[in-house]
Amino acid sequence: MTAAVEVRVTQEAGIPVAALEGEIDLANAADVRGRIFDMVTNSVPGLVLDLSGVTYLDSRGVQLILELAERLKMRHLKFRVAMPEKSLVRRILLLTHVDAVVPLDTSVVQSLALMRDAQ
Amino acid sequence: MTPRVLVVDDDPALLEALPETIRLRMRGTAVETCASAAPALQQIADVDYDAIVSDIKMPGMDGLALLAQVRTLRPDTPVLLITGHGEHDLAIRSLRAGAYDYVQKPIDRDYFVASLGRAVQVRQLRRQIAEQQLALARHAGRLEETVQARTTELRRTIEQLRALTDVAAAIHGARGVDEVLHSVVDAACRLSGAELAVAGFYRGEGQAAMAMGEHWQTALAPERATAQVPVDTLAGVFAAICAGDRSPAQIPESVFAPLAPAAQNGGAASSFLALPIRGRDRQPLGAMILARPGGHAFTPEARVQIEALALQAAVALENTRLYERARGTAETLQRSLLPERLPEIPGVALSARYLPGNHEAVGGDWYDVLTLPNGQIGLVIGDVAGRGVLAAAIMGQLRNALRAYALEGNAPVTIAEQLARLVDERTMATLLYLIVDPETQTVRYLNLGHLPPLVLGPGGQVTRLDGGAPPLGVRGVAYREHTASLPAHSTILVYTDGLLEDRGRSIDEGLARLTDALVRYGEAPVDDLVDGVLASALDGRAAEDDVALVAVRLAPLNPDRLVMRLPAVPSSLAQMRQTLRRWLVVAGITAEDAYDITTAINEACANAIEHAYGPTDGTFECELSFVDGLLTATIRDIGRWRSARGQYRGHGLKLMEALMGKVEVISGPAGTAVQMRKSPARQGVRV
Repeated sequence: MTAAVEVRVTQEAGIPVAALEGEIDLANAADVRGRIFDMVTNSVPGLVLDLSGVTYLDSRGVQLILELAERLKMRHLKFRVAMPEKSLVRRILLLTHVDAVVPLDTSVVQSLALMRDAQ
Repeated sequence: MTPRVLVVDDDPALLEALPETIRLRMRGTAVETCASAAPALQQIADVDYDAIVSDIKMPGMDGLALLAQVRTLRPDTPVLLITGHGEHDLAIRSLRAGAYDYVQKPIDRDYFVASLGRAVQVRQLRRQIAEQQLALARHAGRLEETVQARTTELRRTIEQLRALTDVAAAIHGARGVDEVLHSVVDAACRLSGAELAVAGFYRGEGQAAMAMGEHWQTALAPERATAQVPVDTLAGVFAAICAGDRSPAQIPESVFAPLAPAAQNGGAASSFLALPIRGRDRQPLGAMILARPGGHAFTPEARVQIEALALQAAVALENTRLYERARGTAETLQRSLLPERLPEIPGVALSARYLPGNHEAVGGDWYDVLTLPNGQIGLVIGDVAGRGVLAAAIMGQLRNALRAYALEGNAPVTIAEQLARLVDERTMATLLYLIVDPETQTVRYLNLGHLPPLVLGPGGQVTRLDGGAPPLGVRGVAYREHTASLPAHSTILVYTDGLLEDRGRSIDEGLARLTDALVRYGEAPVDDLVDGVLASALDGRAAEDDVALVAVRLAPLNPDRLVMRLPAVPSSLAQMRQTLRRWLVVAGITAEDAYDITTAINEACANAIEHAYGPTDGTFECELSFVDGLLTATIRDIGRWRSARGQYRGHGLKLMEALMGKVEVISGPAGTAVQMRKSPARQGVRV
């Protein structure tokens, strides 16, 4: 059974943006990881993960972001994660020091701008 | 037989001589004498003489007068008259008057003896003929009686045959073993004059277990006898009757000893008649015992009738058994599709009932309760038109498809559209799908031709959740879901039409009754509520159609304590968080603290689920208390041993420690317990 999470993918100026919506936990983390990994090809410059719509994220979700970061780094691809400043999900990512590995932005617009600047 | 002759004469010389002659010449003849006619008549009235000899000329009544009297008194007795010499006229007159002969004086003894001898002989022959005629008449009479008796017998046989036919009709019209047995015992009493009859159907395997009461289904007539004959006693007697291949007459009287007290009914000893009921393969299906108190034995006709009855009973029981097996298949199929147990969700009381109707085939009613991926509760009830294995099979398809779509997290409208594609035009099925969200206290629902859900509010008012679409099987329908709010303490009742069906009552009347019952049992625990609603809706009648009903109540959570016991599967996490968030709100904990607590507890639960992972599903328990501002959470995986592999090295433990401060992990042989404490900020209790 799949918990209530949706993965929506869009392209902004050639950069894929994966927007997650709902709750991410043990029940669906593996499924979400698979779906995101599938869209990360060598032809893209990087990936923006939009967690604005995530209402809950547990340590499996944290694990998922760290694994994603590691994979993209190995392939020399850029990776940024976006969520509002006041988001409770951000608190979890800060507590688990994800920000030391992946830059956390406050919006997708900011992520895309910073990713383009770095190119 | 000794001939008796009476001689009447006023002449003493003749009165002496004639008897002398008769005695000498007609040996063995008894002679009596009389000196005048009047006393002679007296004697003739008393004695039936074989012949009378009388002089004509006598003082007083003469011989002719005497003859006339004798002719009326004893018309068959020959009379010989004695006339004077040459008195021919008198002789002729006497013959005309009916004398057998006349003898002239002086008496020719040879002639006299010959004539008297003939008279006696004729008289005796006549008497013989009369006797033979009488015998013949008697014989004819007896013959007549025999014919009449045979006719009566034949008529009775026809009546008995007719009675047996009526009985056969009753037995074969009976539904179920119980009805068959009852019609058998009733018929047995009517056919045989028995005052007590008991029939039993053996449900066990093999003859070894026959003496055990648990394997017998019995019926007694009259009903009052039931209390007097325990079924264990009966089983022993039945087993003895079925033992071997004895005829009823070969069953020893001692077998019935245990039944004697029940059969006695006031004194005189009872006659018993017992026989096994054997099926086509001669294997005993059951047995019957009849008793007649008061020393009345069973007639041979009754025995024949009862044997015929046993044959009818055997056919009916075999058919019933076959039918029960077929029905059992459909019932098992249907039962296997109903939830074995309802999910346990703190603060959500659930109760469901399913009552098979007394219809010959099972219906297609079903219900289902699901914990959805987001922790909300999916409630399903439906009814496939038609009955039997086919309806049960369609119901199974719908139920499984709905489960799959619902557990994928699909919206009600999407689910309905998918199901509509499964059902062809020949199938008609009603369906009600509700999503109850205890956290937001709302319900989303979609009604496809089903009876409306009823909601009993906390104030005791009942509202109908209206709005819906045609049943599944109707093409081209645009589905639309509806929403309603569910205040705390609300109870939702969903049900199938079997609950309302009652000939002579409209659905509105049925709904009004149901509403009344719902209000009446509104304060009761949900288990009592569904029982109460079921009882008052059926009002003593057996449910004609299948009945399914489910009640869901949003019960208040205790702000001091929360205990959740959940299956150790990843999908339990969402439900755990749902309930936990509800409780944290009730406990008055701020949103930010609530998020931290939820995340920490979720980590501990996720670990418990991973540890409990194994070939069979385990459970885990999450217990929280909030006393004097201190929140304590304990998460245990129950009944499972695990080796300490250091699973808490990852982010989980880090998160728990960061969010809660102190985390204790206690490993024991029965499982692992994780305990966390925190003093969260409160924002004032909200219920």
